[in-house]
Amino acid sequence: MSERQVQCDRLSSGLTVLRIDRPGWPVVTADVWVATGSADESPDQAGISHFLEHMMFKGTEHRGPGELDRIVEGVGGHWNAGTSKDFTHYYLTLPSEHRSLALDALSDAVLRSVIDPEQVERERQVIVEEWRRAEDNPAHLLHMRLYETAHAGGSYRWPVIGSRETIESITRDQIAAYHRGRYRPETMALILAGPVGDNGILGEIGELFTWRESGGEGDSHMEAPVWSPGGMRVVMREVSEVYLAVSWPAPEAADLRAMLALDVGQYVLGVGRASRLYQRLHEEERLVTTIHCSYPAHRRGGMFTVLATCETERAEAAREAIIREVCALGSERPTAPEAARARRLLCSHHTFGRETTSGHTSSVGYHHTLTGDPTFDDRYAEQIGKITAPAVAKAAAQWLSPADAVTTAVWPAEHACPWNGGVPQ
Amino acid sequence: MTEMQDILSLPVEAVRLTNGIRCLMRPQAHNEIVAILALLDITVFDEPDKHPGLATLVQRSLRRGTVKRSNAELALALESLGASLSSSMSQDLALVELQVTRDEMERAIALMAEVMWEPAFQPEEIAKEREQILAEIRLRDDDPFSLTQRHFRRALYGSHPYGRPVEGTAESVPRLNTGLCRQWHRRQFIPANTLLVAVGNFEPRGLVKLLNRHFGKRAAPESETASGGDRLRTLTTYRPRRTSIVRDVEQSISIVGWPAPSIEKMDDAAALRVASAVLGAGMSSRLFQDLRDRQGLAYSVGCSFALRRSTSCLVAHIGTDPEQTAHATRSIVQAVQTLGREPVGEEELTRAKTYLRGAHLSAHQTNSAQAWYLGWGQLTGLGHTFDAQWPALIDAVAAEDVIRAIRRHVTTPTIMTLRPRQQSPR
Repeated sequence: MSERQVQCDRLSSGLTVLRIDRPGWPVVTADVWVATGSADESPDQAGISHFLEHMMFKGTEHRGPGELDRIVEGVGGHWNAGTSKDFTHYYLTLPSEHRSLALDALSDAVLRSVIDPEQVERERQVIVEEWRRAEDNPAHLLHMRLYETAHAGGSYRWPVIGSRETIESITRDQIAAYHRGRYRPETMALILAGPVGDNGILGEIGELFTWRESGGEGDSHMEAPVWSPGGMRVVMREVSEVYLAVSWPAPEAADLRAMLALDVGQYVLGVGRASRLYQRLHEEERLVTTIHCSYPAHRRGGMFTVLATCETERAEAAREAIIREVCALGSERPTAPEAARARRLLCSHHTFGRETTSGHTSSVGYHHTLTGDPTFDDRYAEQIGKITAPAVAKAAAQWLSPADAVTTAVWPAEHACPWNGGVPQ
Repeated sequence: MTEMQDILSLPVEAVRLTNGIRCLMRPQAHNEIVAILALLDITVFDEPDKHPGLATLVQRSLRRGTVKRSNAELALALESLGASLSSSMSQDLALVELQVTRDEMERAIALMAEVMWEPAFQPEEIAKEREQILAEIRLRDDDPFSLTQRHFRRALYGSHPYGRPVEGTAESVPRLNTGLCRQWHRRQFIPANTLLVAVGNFEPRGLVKLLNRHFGKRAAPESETASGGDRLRTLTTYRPRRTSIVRDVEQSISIVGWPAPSIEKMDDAAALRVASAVLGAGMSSRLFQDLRDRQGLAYSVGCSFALRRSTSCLVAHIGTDPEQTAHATRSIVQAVQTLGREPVGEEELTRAKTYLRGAHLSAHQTNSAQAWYLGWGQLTGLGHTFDAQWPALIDAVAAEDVIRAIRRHVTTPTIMTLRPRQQSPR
């Protein structure tokens, strides 16, 4: 399963360039990853990474607002961006013959945006609307709240978008300083997929991706997360069922072996219809209407979460059953067929995810940003193949204990909630 | 644009299996993935009026066990191959979709055929799936956008089958039972209704053998006839409505739309697709530039036009501050009406068309997407070559075509608005 596809170069500026060559492929994706996200922010500037991301599309030193959109879309391209707790990335896919334009547009937006004060004020309103939308969607709301519940301290607590207050108060100069300070060549990587094998492209990149002296505020404000064992929080909303999350602290990305073991553990427990949680809680006990696992291994302090929906009268039983099953993974070691299924499905999903150029750059960029290893994504399937059932059980026993479980829920407002005010009697 | 033509016009081989099932194949070896789609000519128009949601229940119950394997055994067998098998219903067709890597293709195809031809439909499994669908109907309404969209469709289409949710309603789903499912499967899952499309890393002759072994054994019933095209009745009476629903939300959502032609009127359809791109596809589109970039009214704003076998619809949406909803909705309606009066400038028109072509090309990167596009054209009667012809149809759209199509189809809009229960924030 091992495929060596990524070609890694370090330019004289310090920028890392990772290329996945697909000769003759009709489109090319250029994807800039910056190793900075909401976890690097100071609390009074929560949401600044995301705010900056919005400002990258609002005009550069040489091109007015909307001009880059017209240029990129005028050749059949589309671009987008994503901000997370650990990273921010900007990606652009367009027909391959316009490859040079992709590099030009992306470098211009990411390195030479002017962050115009008037545009900042207008974009602030747009971000408030994005915030409203997130608050209104129960699954999104739950995701934002569970980090606040699980962490007693540290900078993974707040939502990527920030709070209504910080969105309103962040200033233009703070955004510009964050940009100058945090978008440095050594924290960035350009990932390319498509017909990009020729070395001439490196010269082109070197000319376009240039930096001035920093002058901004370069330090990360990251504070390690402080777990809040037994934490519980309920938000009442107009919803039809309980949206439930039960979370545990989990290995961070630097703890590679444990991370890979729990990647597999996540599949044993809660990815796919043959997984334990799905079979036992959904099919046999009929406690939940949907259930799955999610395990982002952050730069500091990963989080292992089971997400489920259920009727109010089954919520407590569902919560207990989730804790029981997750914490049993350490003692009730995966059987050989269970482990084989988990590894195989995980590897397939990894392969399917890399089928498009943008899926491929995302997968490579994500793993590179988290681990610092440009070949990690290429070796991912090979490494997963070596994770044995005892290794999964060992990582589970070390990390997933009942005392650490944290519960977050969005609860139907018209039903009384036994969890309001803490652990149920 | 040579590459573009390349990926869209790669060779396709058409064969028939021994029992008459049509089959399209496009072998390509740039990755290890094989996608096999079964598109069935089953639509919401085929459902009995009393039983909306029946087709969805059948489609989803296929994966709940076969005559040879229980639900849990089937899931384990598929996932141990790393295969992804989904089965779903849309308004215009039913779909079973397999994605697998080449090394496990043979066993996965056998399972796919088993699921399609030999489902168990055990009463307790049907009951579980019914409950599951009911739960998902409730959950879907928890998302403000889905809720608004459901009400919008109902308002625009009225009692036309496109007006009801494809998965049925809280009232209709409990009335469905095992007998109905078995009967539906017997009538609808027949070779004449089935199209197989394979794209990916396989050797064509070997694949035909495999498909014959597993899919060819389903005998054609003696009186078998394929579903006819005349059943796809169009929306004959359109009554524009302007209504709103309330909910405990921060943001107001407005959906605006008009009925639009089906795939039968391809000229207008292509013109409306271009119109929708001018209005709301991408960041350089008019609605994005005006309502988001210039006025800062919205995060989410857009416009789309999807091709349908029957009456389609041109639709735009915006999520905004409740105080601004009326103004935003008016702006959208005016922007659409302007397209019927003033010709789109050459540069803007070219940009919209190029954007659509680029998006079309980019959407063909996966084997399963290619299989979907080929199959959709074939099943709907346009032919599998339609996929390669579509960019030329878009290219041919001129400014006056947009004006004509908008004038012909944009009458009084149907508007559905979701409003907060109280205007004050939580």
